[in-house]
Amino acid sequence: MSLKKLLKPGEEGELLQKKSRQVTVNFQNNRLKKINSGEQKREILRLITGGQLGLAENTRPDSHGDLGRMARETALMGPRVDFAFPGPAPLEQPQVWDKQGAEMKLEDLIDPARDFVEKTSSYHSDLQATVQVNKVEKQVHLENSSGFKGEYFKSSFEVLLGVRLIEGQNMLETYSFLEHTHWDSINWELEIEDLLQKIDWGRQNVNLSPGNYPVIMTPATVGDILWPLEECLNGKAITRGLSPWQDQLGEQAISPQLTLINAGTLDRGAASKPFDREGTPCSSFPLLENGVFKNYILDLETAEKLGEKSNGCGGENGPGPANLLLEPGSETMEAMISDLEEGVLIAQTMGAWAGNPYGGQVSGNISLGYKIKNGRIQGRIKDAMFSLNVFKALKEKVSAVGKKRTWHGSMLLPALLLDEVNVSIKSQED
Amino acid sequence: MQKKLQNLMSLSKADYCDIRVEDTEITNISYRGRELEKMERKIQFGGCIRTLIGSGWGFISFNSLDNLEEKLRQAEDQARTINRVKKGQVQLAPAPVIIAEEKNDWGEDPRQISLKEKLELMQHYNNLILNTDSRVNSSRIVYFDHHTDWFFASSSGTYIYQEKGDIGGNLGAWASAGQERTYDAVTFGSNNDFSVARGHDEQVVAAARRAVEQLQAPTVRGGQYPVILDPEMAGLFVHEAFGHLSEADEIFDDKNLLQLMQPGTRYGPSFLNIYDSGREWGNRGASHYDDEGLPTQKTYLIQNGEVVGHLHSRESAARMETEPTGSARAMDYRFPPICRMRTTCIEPGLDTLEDMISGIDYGLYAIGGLGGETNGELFTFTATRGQMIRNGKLAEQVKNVTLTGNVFHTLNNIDSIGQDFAILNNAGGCGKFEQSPLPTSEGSPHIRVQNVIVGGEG
Repeated sequence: MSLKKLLKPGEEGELLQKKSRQVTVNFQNNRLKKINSGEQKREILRLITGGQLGLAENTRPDSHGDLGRMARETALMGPRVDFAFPGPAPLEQPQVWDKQGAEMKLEDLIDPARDFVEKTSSYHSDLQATVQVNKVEKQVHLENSSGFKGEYFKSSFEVLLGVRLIEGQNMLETYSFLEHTHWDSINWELEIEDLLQKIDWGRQNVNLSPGNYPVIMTPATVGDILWPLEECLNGKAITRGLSPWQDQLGEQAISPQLTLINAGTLDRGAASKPFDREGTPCSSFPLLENGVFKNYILDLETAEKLGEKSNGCGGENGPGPANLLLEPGSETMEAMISDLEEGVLIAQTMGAWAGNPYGGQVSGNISLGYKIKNGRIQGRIKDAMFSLNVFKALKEKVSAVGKKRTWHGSMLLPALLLDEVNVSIKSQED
Repeated sequence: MQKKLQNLMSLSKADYCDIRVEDTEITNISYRGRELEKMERKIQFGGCIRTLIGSGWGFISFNSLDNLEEKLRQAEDQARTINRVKKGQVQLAPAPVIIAEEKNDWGEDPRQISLKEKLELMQHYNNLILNTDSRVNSSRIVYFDHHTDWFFASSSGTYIYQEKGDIGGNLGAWASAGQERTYDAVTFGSNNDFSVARGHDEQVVAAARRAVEQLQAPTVRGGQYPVILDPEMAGLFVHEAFGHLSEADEIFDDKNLLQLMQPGTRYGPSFLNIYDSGREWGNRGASHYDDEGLPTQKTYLIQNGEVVGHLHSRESAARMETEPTGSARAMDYRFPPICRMRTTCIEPGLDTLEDMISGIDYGLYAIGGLGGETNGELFTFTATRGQMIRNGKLAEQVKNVTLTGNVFHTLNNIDSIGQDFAILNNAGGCGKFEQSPLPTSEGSPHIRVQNVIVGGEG
């Protein structure tokens, strides 16, 4: 179906066609449980007529007429827009297609998953492993009435690895989620080592008094507290007057130790692509450089409102970042731990996503966390919550930035050592 | 459709096989601040085939109904692959063979309401919110309605058509002053009646005023408190704290959990009763049949403080030697059904809110739910706002209230259950594995819980 046939004279439009194919292999409680597969084809039409924007989506084959009809119907009452769809532009082509990986058979996905189960259960016979390997192949085609026409293929391997140990009513669970464009980016051995380390540290529960502590956030949990930053740098929050950071480009926002980069075209980046959902070329740029605001996350509409240009962050639900890279520091995890007289290491959080992003307050359950005493991990703390104001903590309380970074979804993050994080915890007599 | 699906089922070589086809039409409207953000229409059409051979399930989803036999064979191959490496045989609890056609019992059918009327109603609420106070500088209005024609056939001979509806909305206000940002909202939802979207004028203005009041409120002090949960928070609590634990597909494969969830195990006080129901018509999640073609029902999970039941699929019911409960649900055709909640409720008790408050020297009243999460042992849930209780009386407002607890212990800390009861619907939904958001709703009276951990400032 071509865009031309969908549009009437005087209408501008954009047709996005997404095809995907996926296979999922799932092990639960050490056993191969499910094999799923699926194919999907979606067509999304944005249509501007009389300055108003309509939006329609269809997955029903052979009913393209519905797409034009629905888009036109919504455009009659749709939002007034001033932006124009972008024309052709030179595009970078990041490596996001794994030719070898795409040719992998079902068995090739099952074998390493089974290997994971065998290795974890031979380490401790009561460990229950969960593995989900999801192989996705995507084809994205976009064209618009300004003459843009682009297409790319992308592979992705989403792997969830988890181990659980239940002893009585005590449950110790740890997991990691990986997303890579290339199969050989997955380091199974390293993941196993990391998960078993977290299990070892957590076998013994220890007491901690409530209070303010220096807290080491592992790279994964740094990812759990960054969302208010993302939200406040988002063009939507800026144009709505919700972000506390509007009109603050060039200002010192957080610690000079922190540089946050939006990397749109990084080779093998899980969120990399040549162009965004609107046909704007993707690129890489700093959001915060040495703690100073450099750029917002913009799509066509929000950029137009701010009198700027889209920086290639257009998504299906407004602007969104591509790969987010937090630049590394110089401290090793071992040194961070051994330097602490008393503190907490937070390895997993739960529920930290709920709340108010624009105030910066983040509270979550420390679903896996450890007490550090005299430079050593003492054991696991349970029934505990952490609470911090992310804006304040990243401005005033960063005492070290980790040297080693790891990928968590599309974020590449170091660990952070933050001072004075509040920890509420169940009192010991209950 | 019936003939096409039933013919396909007759070609299956699997021990068991079913096919679902869903044809869904969706309308979405959203405002952010003064500006209309989105007007969208969607058609989501697709199907899936599920096969069972020996110990293995295969599953394939698709948009096109062409070459269905080829797809059936692929799903069978997947099931065989598992069966080759895994010992045993998956048993399914017996299910009646059903031939049925069920229309949705519409109040006001959203398809009969013009797009213009829906838009104007949302715009009206948005204007009310934004005109409440100069400090209300933005809003978040979300409205959606879904209409689904749902077709199901199985190799056992069942064929069902059912019509399903899902309507939801969020009418939220953002207030700002300096660096402070606060939020409050009115929500609605239904499986069969657009009229739930109407008549919120006074409520949205009140929500906007509350957002403004919250600007002055300090962040709650972290610690351990007796907490009164309003029906919305208590609903979120029962969903996270016990509902997920009752989903039997999580239990039956894990001998430790199986032990912990044995019928008769005490989890709460003797006056605590919890149920989940697929037949609370008018609420999100209600439907006649589940995604395995079984009738839905009301299932008690806790009676008099003790475990009495779980939420089952046919497979989990067979493994735990009990009856299925119509709780196998899939978010849409892209996913296989798994054990899920629908409308989960704490039954009303005997107490009044006044008594609950007056019994607390120093505690917290948590109001309105923003969301929650559980990992099977621990759970968290976040309130829209809070109010401190001092010397038996409601005192100052506080904000950023997130609570946490342990699923195995916290129900035991409930010491009071109110007489009031409300089922609450919103525009969100429940997430489990990769299936989110699934329409659910929750009901509860006010409840009081002792020794709840609250995150906050030191």
